[in-house]
Amino acid sequence: MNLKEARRLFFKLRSENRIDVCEDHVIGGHPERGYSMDEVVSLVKGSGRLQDTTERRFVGDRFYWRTKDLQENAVRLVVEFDEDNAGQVILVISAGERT
Amino acid sequence: MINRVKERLYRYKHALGSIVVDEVEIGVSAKGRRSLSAAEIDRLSRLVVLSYLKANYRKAIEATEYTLTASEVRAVVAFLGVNQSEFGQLVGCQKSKVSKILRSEQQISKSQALLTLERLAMELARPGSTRKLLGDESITVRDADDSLVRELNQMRYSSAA
Repeated sequence: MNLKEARRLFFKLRSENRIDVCEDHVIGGHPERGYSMDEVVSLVKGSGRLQDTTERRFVGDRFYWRTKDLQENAVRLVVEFDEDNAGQVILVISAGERT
Repeated sequence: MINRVKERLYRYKHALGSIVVDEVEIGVSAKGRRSLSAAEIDRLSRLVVLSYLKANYRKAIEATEYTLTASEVRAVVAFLGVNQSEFGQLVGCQKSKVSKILRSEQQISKSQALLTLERLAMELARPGSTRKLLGDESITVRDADDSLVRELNQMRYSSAA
């Protein structure tokens, strides 16, 4: 999936509230910020920019959602697209600082 | 592919406390990754907020001095779905003060803490009402289910007794 398609899908899915957050979303991210799961959902719904990942360890269609938290800290979420029996969904893998 | 499975006695952790719920729908991906859907997170967060209000509402009214920690305020702001300046509008203070509260450089006053709890109760009873109050006309305000509203009323009534 290219970035343009991913952006279109991301905005469509978030407008439909089709978001899943991994239980271990802070692992490898920024645990001291301790985002609760509902904060992660609000980060996905905030303003930001979807970008390609640059890390080779990420296999498949993974993207960065770059946004800011309540305290204006830059946050980088790693997201991928998956699906359940109702269709596609944004899966938030991690939520941490911008690196 | 994410499979949705029911899990019993699930512990949900939140900045306002943690709760154990009878049943939760967990998503399990092909790689074994466990997730919660936004709808399920919303439901569980509402239960946490209710439990938080029940534990603190009366205490806040009766205490001579009462404040909220920075992490509590942050969790409330996130739950209400507002930004710092909107939160300031809701509790009657400047954005700069909200910013200091969130950085633990200043404390929220008792009257503002009480108003914060009222805003929480309002949003819990009528989801979407906070954004509506701030002038967002695109929001449809819903009514929470009757049992939750009953519990909120009971909490208020017992506090007044």
